[in-house]
Amino acid sequence: MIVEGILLALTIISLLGLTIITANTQTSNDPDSLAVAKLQAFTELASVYSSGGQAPALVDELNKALNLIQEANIAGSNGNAVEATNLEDQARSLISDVLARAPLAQQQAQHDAFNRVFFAVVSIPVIVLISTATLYLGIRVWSWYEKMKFLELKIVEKDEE
Amino acid sequence: MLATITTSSVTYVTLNPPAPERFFATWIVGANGLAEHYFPNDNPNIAVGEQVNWTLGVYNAMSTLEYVVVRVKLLNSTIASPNETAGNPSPVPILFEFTRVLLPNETWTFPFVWSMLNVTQRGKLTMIGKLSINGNTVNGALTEALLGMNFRFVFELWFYDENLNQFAFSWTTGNIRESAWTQVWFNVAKVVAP
Repeated sequence: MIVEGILLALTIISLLGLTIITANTQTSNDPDSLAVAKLQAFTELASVYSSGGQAPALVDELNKALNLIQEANIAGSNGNAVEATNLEDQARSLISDVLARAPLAQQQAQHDAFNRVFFAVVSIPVIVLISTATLYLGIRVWSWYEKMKFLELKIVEKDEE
Repeated sequence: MLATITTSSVTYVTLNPPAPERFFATWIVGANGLAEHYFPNDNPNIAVGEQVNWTLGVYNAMSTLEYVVVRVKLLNSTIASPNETAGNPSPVPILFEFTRVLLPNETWTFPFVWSMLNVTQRGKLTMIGKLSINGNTVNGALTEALLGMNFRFVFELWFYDENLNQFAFSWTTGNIRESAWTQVWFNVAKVVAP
């Protein structure tokens, strides 16, 4: 009796698990999830660009996926459901690839952004120091030149006397 | 001290230039890639089955990555055009869409080849019932116009607004609402009764 009860419980748990897995698979294959995925892929790439990075290869891949989605919509509206599903699967695969590679591009963009800020922070005081020194030395050289000219005039005046 | 202030100011201005104006631009050109010869033999009275070749262009000057959609609509002269001041699109269904993710400063051009496949006459009204756009058929009671005059294709540029989490037709630059759309007018050549 107890063994039968355990077996029944295990069967129910297995069936529940199978139902959940099937539901998840159906969700990930429906057009709505594709619409969400393409927006998510765009958002990820947009954050790469907004932080100063670049990922043209991923953008190109996303554009291919968008074209496939549009072709799938047209095929679906023409009653060609098999072709539509096939095109959607191809688009889904491309978007998954973009979503998988986007974090690395984001890291690279953040790294590049840090380097740019670091360079700017370091370069500003250096440029200011060099410019100040140049200006200071220029004024000193000019005053020295004026003094020399004045001295020269004095010597000439003395010689004439 | 004066030297330090001067050089610091110059350095700051050099490293932080003012932000450029942000906008989208759209345009249509004719079969030869110029703003002319929009119709076969330069005749805007288009017959059923006659093919018209245009090229649409979109320029992204938003300085960010943008997900854009060009929405194609068919209007007559009495249906409201998109309202730039209010930021409202034209209130008719979308016939066809072109989508793309645009890089900053990217220009995107694509062909728009169309022909009317079915036109019906009902009294003085001419109705376009079937169109071919880039080889794809678009069905339905699309639009009608008096004596077949003054139909127009309107191309609205929409973009994905991450803050709103939806596509938007207009954006704001310096408290001014802006939008990008363009249109081309045409007539249906007189339909011969069967």
